[in-house]
Amino acid sequence: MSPRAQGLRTWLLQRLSAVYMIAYTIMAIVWLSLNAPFDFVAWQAIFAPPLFNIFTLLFVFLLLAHAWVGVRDIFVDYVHHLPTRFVLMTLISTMQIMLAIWVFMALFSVVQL
Amino acid sequence: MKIRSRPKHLNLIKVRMPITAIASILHRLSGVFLFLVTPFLLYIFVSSLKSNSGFVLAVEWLDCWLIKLVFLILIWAVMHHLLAGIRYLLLDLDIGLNRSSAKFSATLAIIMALVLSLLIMLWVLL
Repeated sequence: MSPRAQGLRTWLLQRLSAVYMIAYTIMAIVWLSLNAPFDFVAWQAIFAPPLFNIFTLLFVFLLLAHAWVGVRDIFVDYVHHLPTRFVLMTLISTMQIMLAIWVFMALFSVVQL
Repeated sequence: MKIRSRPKHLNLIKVRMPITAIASILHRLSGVFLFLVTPFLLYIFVSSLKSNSGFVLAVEWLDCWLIKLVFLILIWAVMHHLLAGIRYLLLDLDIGLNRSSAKFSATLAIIMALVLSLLIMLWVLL
């Protein structure tokens, strides 16, 4: 945990990511109900336009960050042994970063410029 | 030291929880659940994007009853976390801070989450 990622900044990140995720969810529900993908080609084609691809990528990144802050808050409440908390947070940070890279590669492979 | 002999009820079953506390606990529980299922959901998403066989497999998984059961909880968790989350965003903006409206919005979030997830389940299953 870097000192910069504590307190007000993470609090703000939690709120801003929430607002973005609400907006994306509404957009995705409207979009999917208008043209529901029935096969693989149509499903891949949804994420082909760069703008929607980036919106989706940003959604996943913010989701992982939002969850990271939430888990951190829970650990601050319940895990009082600092070395244990540090190890747990390091594991979860690594997991979230790996998931982010993994989703980035998957989304990047279907984008069409 | 009279103050020390006052009864302390930290037993969660004995403590009478206000509805706002219940909304808060459910917000945290649904958040933990969503955190735990996120890697699994991303796995389904990534494999459905990668290849046709992955897409078919994802559709097959979503048809499996065990995963459908997880999805029933997931739909509720998303709805509750979303509605209670919007409530917190409004509280952060100083909207609905007094006791009666905070109690009302907490009740509303809990009930609306149940009603909306029931409607979504019916819509998905039918």
